Amino acid sequence: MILLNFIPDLYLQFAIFAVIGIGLILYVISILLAFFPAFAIYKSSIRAISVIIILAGVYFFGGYGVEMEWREKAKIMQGKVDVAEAKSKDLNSLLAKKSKEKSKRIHVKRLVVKQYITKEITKYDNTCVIPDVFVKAHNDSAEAPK
Amino acid sequence: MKKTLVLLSFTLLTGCALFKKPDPVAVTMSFPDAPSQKDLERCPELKRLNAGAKLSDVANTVNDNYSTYYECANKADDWIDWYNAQKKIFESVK
Repeated sequence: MILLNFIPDLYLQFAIFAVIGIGLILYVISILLAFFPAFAIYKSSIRAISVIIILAGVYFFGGYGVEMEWREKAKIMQGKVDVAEAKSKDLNSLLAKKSKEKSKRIHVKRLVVKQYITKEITKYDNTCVIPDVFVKAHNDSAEAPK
Repeated sequence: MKKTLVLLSFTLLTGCALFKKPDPVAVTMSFPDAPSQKDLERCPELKRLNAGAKLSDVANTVNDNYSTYYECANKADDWIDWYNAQKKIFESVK
């Protein structure tokens, strides 16, 4: 059944109609054989074979309808998925743009504050002594929990 | 003739039933990409002070650490927006 998925629609349809066609031709031949006494002995066996071939063809025709319905369903679903993938890509580029702008603003703000520190805070470097306990408290809080 | 028609119909329906495919239909869908390459990087560790640090060193380190936090929060926000939007897209496919 899995192999059916790899056969193009047209070939599958052609194969099924060919089987039914061969069966019908053989059936007609079996009728015509009645007019040729020399071959009349093959009439019954050819008719039986033709009926089996027709039945096989009809059986596959029933399956073909389901196969085509499934392929159509898969085609519709794949279309929806393709649209969703395109939307997802658009969304990612939009998010990346938004994130980059925000990141840039963060970077600029960091530089502005750095300049302010250099200009204003360094004045107090010699007057304000930072005790080691403060450094320890800061470093402990900056350390990620393990 | 009636028997033949019944036999043909039965064979046709048997073919329909045996070829029935299981739901859902198999289609190929790739996993959505990350919002950006930057968002796949882990957040860096916060900066620490050296012993004997000056007031400006403290201010600079705090400034750098706050910036690091906002960068990281920006990444987290990206992922939140990404998840909510991707979920909507995914649900629209059903």
